[in-house]
Parts: sequence; C-alpha cells; structure tokens
Amino acid sequence: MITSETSPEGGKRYRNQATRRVLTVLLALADAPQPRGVSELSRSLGMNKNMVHRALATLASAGYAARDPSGELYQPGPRLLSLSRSSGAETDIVALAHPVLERLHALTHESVYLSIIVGRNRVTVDDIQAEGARVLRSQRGHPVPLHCTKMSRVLLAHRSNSEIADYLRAAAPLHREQHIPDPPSETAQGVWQDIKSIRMSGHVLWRNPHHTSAAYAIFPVCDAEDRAHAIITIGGPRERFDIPQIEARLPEIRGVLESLEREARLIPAPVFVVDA
Amino acid sequence: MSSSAARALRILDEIAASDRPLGVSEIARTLSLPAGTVFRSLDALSRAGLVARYRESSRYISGPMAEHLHRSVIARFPIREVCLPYLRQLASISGETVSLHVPAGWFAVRICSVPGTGEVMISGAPGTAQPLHESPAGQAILADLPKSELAAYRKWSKSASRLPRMRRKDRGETVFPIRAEQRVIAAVTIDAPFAPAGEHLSACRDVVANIETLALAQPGLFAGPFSHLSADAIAL
Repeated sequence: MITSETSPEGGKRYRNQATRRVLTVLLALADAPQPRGVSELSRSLGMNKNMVHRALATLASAGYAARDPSGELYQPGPRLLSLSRSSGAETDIVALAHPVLERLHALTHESVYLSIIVGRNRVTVDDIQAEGARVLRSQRGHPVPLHCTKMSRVLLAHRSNSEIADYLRAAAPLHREQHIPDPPSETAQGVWQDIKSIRMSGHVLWRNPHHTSAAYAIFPVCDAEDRAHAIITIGGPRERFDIPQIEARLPEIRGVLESLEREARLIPAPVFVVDA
Repeated sequence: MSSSAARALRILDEIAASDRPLGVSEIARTLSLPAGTVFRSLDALSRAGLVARYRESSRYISGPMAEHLHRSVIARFPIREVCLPYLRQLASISGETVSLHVPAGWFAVRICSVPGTGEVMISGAPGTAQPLHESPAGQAILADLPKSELAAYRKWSKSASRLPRMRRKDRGETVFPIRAEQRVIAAVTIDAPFAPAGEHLSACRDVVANIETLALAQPGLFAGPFSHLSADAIAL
C-alpha cells in the first residue's frame, strides 16, 4: 500500500482531501436537526455514496457519528460531547453572535446590528456596516429607551407582561423627543398594542411610515423560555433592501440565524432590571 | 487500518482533551505518528475550523467549529430546556449556581447550568463529562443502578484505561437525584460548598419533586440522543 509519506505530491493532496471529505460529512451531520441517510448526504454534499459510506464508518468508529435508534440513519456521536475547550462553553451572547453577524453581512451586504437590554435601554453592542449608501451610522453604545423605536420594542416584547408593566411604570412619562416620528411609543396603550403585533410573528420586517427611505428586518434571539437575549437587525436603503427583497431572502437569513437561535436557547437570558 | 481521516480525528481528540495548547511534535510523540503526518492533519482540521492556533503560536487548541459541534449535541438533550425554569427557581432559592446532569453511557454529563445570584461561581462548564464514580452527580446515578448494570460498570471502569483526574478539594455540591421508574435518570446539583438548610432545603426539595413529577409523566423528555447506544460503546 502506498502511504502519504512515499507517494508523489499528487498522492499527498489526495490523502488530505479524504480527511476533508470526512470532516465535511461530520459538519453536515451535526448541523442537521434530524438523523441523515447515506443517499441524502451524498446528494446534498455532492459526494458519491461510497465516499459518504466510508466517511460515516470512519466517524462512527471514532465515536463522532452513531446510528440512530432505527439503525438506518446516522446522527452525531457521543464523542462530540468531549469537544469543548476546557475553559468552558461560550455563554456570552455577543461572542456567540459575532460570527452570525459576519455571515448575515456577507449574505445581504447590508448593515447588521446586535442590540441587548442594558437597564431600561436598548444598546447596540456590535455591528458591521455596509459599504456606500447605508441606513445609519453605527449606533454602538448609544442607549435608546425600550419603548422607543421598533427595534427597542422587539426586545421589550420578548419579556413577560409583568416585566413590561413594571418597565412602563418606571419609564413614565413615555413621550420623548425623537428625530423620526414614532407614535406607538407615546402612550402605554400604543406600546402594548405594538407588542401584541410583534408577538404574533417571530420576526419583524419594518419600514417607518413617516420616514420611508430604509427598511429593516429585526430578529429576536431568545433563551429556552422565549426571553430575548438580544435582537439582530439588518437594515438597508429601500432601493436595494425593501420589504419584498427582504422577504425573498428570508429563508437564507433564517438559515444563517438557525444555529445561533439553537445555541442561545442553551443560555438563560439575563434578568431584566427595571430600576437600573 | 488507520486512514488519514481516522488519524485526524485522534489528533482532534488529543487537542480537545488537553487543558493547554499542544504543539506538532508533542502530538506526534504522544500518538507515535510522523510529525509531517500530524502537520497535514492539523492543516485539514484547521481549515474546517475544528482546531485553531493558540494566539498566533505554533501550538493548537480546539477551534470555533469544535465548540459549535459540542453545542449542537448538547442541544439534542430535550431535558435541558424542560428543566431550565426549575433550575432557575433553585438558583433563586439557593443563590448558588445550579446544574443538571444526565447519564450518557457510563458518564455523567453536566447538560445545563444556571448561574446563581452570588458573586462567586464555582460550577464546571456545561458539557463536562466524567465517569459516574468521579462526580457527586454521577455517584447519585450509580447508587441506584440495578446490580447487573453496576457489575457492567465495574468491569468497564477497570478495563477503560483512564488517566487519573485532578480532584478539586475546595468544591462542594449538594446532589438531588431525579428518579423515575425506580432509577435515577438525572441529578440536579447546587454547586456550593454549603448545603441549603431549613426552609431553603425544603423549598429546593419541592422544586425537585416537581421535576420528578414531570419525569414520571413524560419519561421520553428525559431520554438523551445516545440512550439507544450500548453504554460500553460510549467513550468520552
């Protein structure tokens, strides 16, 4: 048998390719919520069945893959439990979300923001700006009250009714000077009504009817009890990023967000402190 | 036969198990492989994001994709989400970090931790797996195993050539076993040197009793992604 140490250059490249194929199958298996079969993997990865079969056998004998309860399909193996860095799994939402912001920016070429609750405010803690014409300069670190602007209210909506009531009491009077008109923010009734409509859909596609140059897609990132850790907002000028364009890209955007949503559910969202 | 991919996975195991960055020659020595082979495997692993260089040095740690794979498998334990509200209650009663542990093969895996309200947090990282006899949570699971399984565990723990682990002396845990159908299917720990007492303890017991009620009603929620595999086949 020819080993990689003695084979010509082309042989070496081939050997490394085999390893990469096995790792590709491993990643595909881990990203699928359901167990997967050989033919299906071979179709989606563009490898022949024999290659996929051998890759799965290698992964299974090392514990990185396992047969599912039916015995016909493959699922991630128990060995993946040992893969964590000894310093501990990441529990910081900002660190977890950053790679997702990068992927969303690469996908849409628009500005992408990550905002969290700090005291009674929404604060943008990370962002990637689009090139050229874009929605707004980075608002990193700038506090916006939780009832003002649609973005803030998406964060507020993913809290319990009693927390929201406490907030509204503490924040009164609600009326604030604003650059762009935001009628729902002016009364508690308006805030509640908007929260109700936000809760009806998982995400919000939005353009301000009083200020029509930009459109936004706002996605809450929640824990297992549907309390928001953060929101991710993608915004762009309407000539290239209007609601129909956003809707057309929604499946791709959701695909990128999926892994973060799953991971965020593992971490309890921080407690909401109204009196900060 | 050891394929290049199988070697790469062994190198990944080695890096993931280490508590410090590992260099090429060190890995080569441990696994008795030529350095060139190790280097090529590391190249493939780092392209996939499974390992990464430690702060631009020539030594390696596990990469972002390894973390991602780890979290994706933790997410497959439905019990974690189900128990989160109860763990939160326990954390607020005790003020300490509270963790949920479940068996995977002959290991106890810390599947979820909820931080307490205190300043000091001494809980291990979520996802840490230890053989049943090596942690208080694992011992609680072990204590209730039927005799035949206990014998199988003894046999396994003797045959598994495991390195002795550091035991931290300053750590204390209060363990509440979760029983369903006459066996311990999970354990909740309050990760503090002092056990809750008096009314705190009885409040904690009430919350644990609620988890047990749930376990009895819906045992399926407590089945992990590896429940169908033979315990001896699971090596962590």
